[in-house]
Amino acid sequence: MYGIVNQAIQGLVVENYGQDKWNEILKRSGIQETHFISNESYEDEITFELVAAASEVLKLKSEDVLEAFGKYWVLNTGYQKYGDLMKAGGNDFSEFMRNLPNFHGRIMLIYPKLCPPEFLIENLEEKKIILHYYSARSGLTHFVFGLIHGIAEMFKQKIEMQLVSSENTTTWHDTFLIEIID
Amino acid sequence: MTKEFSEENFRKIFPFFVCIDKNLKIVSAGPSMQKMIGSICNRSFEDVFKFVRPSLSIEMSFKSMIEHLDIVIILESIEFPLLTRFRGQFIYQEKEETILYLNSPWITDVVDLGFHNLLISDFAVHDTITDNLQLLQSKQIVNDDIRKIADELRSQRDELIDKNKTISDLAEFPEQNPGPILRVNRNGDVLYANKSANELIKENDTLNKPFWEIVKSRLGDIQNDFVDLDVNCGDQSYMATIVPIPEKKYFNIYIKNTTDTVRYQNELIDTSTRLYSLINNMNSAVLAEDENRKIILVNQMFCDLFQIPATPDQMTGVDCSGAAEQSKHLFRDGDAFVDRIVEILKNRVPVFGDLLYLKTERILERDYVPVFENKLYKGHIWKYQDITEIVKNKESLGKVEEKYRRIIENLKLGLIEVDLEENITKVYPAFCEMTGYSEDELLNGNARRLLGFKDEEATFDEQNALRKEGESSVYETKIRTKSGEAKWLIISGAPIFNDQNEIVGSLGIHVDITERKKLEEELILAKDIAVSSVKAKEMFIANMSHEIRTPMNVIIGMTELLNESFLDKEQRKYLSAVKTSADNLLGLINDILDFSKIEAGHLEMEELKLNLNGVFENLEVSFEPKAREKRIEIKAEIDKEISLNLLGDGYKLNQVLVNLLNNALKFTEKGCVCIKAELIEDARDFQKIRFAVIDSGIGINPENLDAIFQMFKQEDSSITRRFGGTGLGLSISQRIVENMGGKIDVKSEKEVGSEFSFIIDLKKELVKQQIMESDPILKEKIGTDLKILVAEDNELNQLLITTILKQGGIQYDLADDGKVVLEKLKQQDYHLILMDIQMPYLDGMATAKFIREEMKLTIPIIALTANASPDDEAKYKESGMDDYIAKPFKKDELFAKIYLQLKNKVMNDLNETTEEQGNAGDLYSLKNIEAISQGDAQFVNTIIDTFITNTPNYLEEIVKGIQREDFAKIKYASHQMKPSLDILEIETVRQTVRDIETESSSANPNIDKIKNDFDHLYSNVIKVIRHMKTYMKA
Repeated sequence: MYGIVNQAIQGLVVENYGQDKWNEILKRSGIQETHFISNESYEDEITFELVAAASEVLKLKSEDVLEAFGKYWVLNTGYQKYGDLMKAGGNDFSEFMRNLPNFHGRIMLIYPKLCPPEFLIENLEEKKIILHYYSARSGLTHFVFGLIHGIAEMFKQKIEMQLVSSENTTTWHDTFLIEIID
Repeated sequence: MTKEFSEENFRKIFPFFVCIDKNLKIVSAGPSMQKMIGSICNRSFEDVFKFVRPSLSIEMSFKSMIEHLDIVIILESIEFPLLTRFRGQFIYQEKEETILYLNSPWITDVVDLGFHNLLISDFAVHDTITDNLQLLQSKQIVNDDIRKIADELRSQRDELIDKNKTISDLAEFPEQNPGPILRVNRNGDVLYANKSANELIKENDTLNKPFWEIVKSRLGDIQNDFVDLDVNCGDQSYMATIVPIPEKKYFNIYIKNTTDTVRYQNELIDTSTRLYSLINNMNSAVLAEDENRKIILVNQMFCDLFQIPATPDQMTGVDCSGAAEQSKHLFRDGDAFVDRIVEILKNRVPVFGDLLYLKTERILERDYVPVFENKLYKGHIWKYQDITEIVKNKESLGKVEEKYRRIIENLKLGLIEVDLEENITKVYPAFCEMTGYSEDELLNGNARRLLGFKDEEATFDEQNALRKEGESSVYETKIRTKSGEAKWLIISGAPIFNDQNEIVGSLGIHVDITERKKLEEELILAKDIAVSSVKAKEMFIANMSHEIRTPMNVIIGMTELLNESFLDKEQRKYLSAVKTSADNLLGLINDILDFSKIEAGHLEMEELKLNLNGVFENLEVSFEPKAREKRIEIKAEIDKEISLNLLGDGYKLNQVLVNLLNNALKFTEKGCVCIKAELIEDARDFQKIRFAVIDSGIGINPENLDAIFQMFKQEDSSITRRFGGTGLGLSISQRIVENMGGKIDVKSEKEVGSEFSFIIDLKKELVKQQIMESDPILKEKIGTDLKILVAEDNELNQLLITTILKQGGIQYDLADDGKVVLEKLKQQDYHLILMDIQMPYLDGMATAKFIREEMKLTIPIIALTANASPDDEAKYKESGMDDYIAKPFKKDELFAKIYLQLKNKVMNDLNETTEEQGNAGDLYSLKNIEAISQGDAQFVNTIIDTFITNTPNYLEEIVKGIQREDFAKIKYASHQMKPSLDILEIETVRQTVRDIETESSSANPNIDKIKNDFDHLYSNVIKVIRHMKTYMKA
């Protein structure tokens, strides 16, 4: 995963729990890196180990860590660094969600070593969206939860989201039902 | 293969297209283009766009556009210049005769998307504009990351620099340590040595050798714990702390110079040993306990006192907490002893002088001193001392004190003690009784304010000052009692000293002498009355005797006259009886008068020039007729060694001798009466002379010898009847002689004769005194330090002159010639020069001339010469000398010259200062001489010259006469002066010279009066002579 992901985890911990906790997490994870460069590719394990260590150090479930991380990723990392680009993603939650698959398709070009997940949107009704999440990696379901809640929060949109199905074949495929609440 | 797009697909693929016809009218435009710049259809292309690139080669015409089909065309919205640019190309559609401008907006920053309100979905999916924007953005983000890392690196670098500095500072730490620090490996090789260690190793080889030997030998044993080694090198001591660092395989060695510490430790050991020994040998029982009541130190005396069967050493460390209980049986009140110890230990404050009574009747004094170190209680010390003897002594001393106190009380001595400010610090009851104050009223009160009288302030001041100087004294003063009554006290005051021998006050012992004082005052009063009555008596006697003497003189005078008249035998017999009675009565009156003078203490002895030869001659002459009448021989013998210059009361001496001679003649019928003066001792200042009157008369019975000196007593009453007399004569004579320092002694043998003798000292008259003392002006001007310079080359003459000067008590210096004279004069001042005329090198006249003309000195110079002709005299005077004396000269002559010259000089000086000389012309007149001369100036000059020449000779004669009390000489000289003074009309002294003549010819000439008159005469005559000399020169 690119450094920007690990940066996001670092930012999340440091902002909410302080530098010492982050140092502790780093130490516990056994990771030697002290700095992550945004578009440098790092081993996926690093990210997972950081999440695991954070879970232990902060005494949180790893699912919660991932969800918080997803949310932080959108609201802080994404918004701070790609704010204008994200704004260009859509004028509201639904529009943004519709553009989401294209968005990720383009990212692959920008980050050649990235193996980004794929999204597919189905519009069931006006207020209901089915989100398909495909990934070569497993275990990031809760990260997606966090991401989508983050996007909703960005557009100040209340949503309800639930995992409808999860398939683990050659790829990871989660299906989410997102309901837009007025 | 091309297939036409549907318009919808075309719009998806080129959402920003613009289509223009040959009239340059925009016929259609893509939806995203219109989102950006609004609706532009049907508007003229040139109204909406302008060319940015190419701008020069292209024209705003359909044709020109067609010519630019394969190049990049950049357009700019005229409405939104700069901000809104498009990049694309022209496609010419021949068929429709339109040009398609296919483009994408030129966006360089993702921010612009928002500005143009564009979403990603406004771009064709294949359009990479947004991807590029994202790429740009991510590059920006990476740049930010790098910048952030760079910042962090910079900050880390700064931190590293700081830390480096800290590390390097820390590395200095052992170097800066003054104590040597070494690091050695297990073989003892030095891996590191700080500066101090290097110096130590370098300087001190003796350290190296034993030190390393010890260290090396121990390194093998040292494993994990450090070891302290004490090493002595020469006179220095070191302690090396060897710290093994096993993981590094070396040892750190920290060395400390412990020389001072070791010395202090040794001193401490010495001190504690001394202290221990001191305590052990103390005459008190001492016990020192620690804070847990364990014995630190105890001495033998303590063990003995408390009957402990152990040695002091064995006692060390023993727990004392139960000791009081164990030893309480020794004390009279054991429980009180224990309770008190508990109380003392609880309070932990020093206690001194607790008294403890043992059952053995011994008394102990106990001190307790707690020991604190940095306010921390570290234990305490007990000291017990057997003071039985002291208490007993004190008790007996108290008894003694009490005894003496009572004695003092009974003696009625008032005792007080005062401090230096006279405040009463102690008072005894008798003093209270004396002053009427209570003890409370007196204590701390000021003695002077309470008791002193204002008029006694000076006495108090004087006494207080004496006390402060540490002196005792006894004095009388009066004090005021409480009732205000005055009391006289005799006070014995003594200073009080403290332990440091400083005066802290005084003690006064007062005795009431008021009664005695009253008696004293009464006595003084009585004495005064008595004295005044005695005086009245004297007055009475003096007056009476005078009153009686006057008629008596008449009676005697008339009797003598009558005796010369014609009388018959019977009458003459009666008259003789009258005369005898009158003589006796007169004698009696005179004796009474003398006696009354003696009684009144008015017998004053005068010290006048006494010429014993004269006295004896007179006595011989005056008694001669009487002796001849009785056919008795009278002899006067005087020792030739007796000085002619003696001082004494000639009148009184004469009176005594007359009295003794009278008696001798009275009681001698045959043989002779002899009067003798015999020199017994010739001292420097006086002569001891024995006077004796010897007769061959009736003699006196030995048993009556004492009685004859008593007043109004004679040997027996038959004597009075036979010889007459008052019986006062001898008594008076004895008193006179006693006043002269002698005593009349009498040797007598009945019918053989008597010898009355006495020995007295008569002062020698010094000649200097004769000159100086007799003249008050000279005395004042010159004093007693008259000093004369004698210029004389001849040794014999030197001896002669100096002997004379010595006799006169005059100081002198000798000069062998004129040169020496001049040198001496430069060195010091003299009053006069005696100058020989013939001297080697520089003779007398040349010397005198030099003194007057070069040195400008007015010192009197008298020439000593063998040549005394008038010519010579003139030469001497011309050379500046004042006078001359011809050799051989007599002593008196020399002194007279000296006196006159000194007098002359003093008078001159006086005149110069008072400037009276100008008036000297008024003192005399030449009128008479001029009248006689009838214009002959020569005659006038001769007269004046004679006066100037002769007068000093007469004056000199008078001086000589005064010195020898040769009144005939005085009378002669003064008589000779009279005519010249008269003729020159020197009015101021015409009478004076007559007074001198009269006084010197009187029976009892007064020498003082003559001296006074002479002074007056002299000063005036000298003035006249000086004025005349000036006149002559003129």
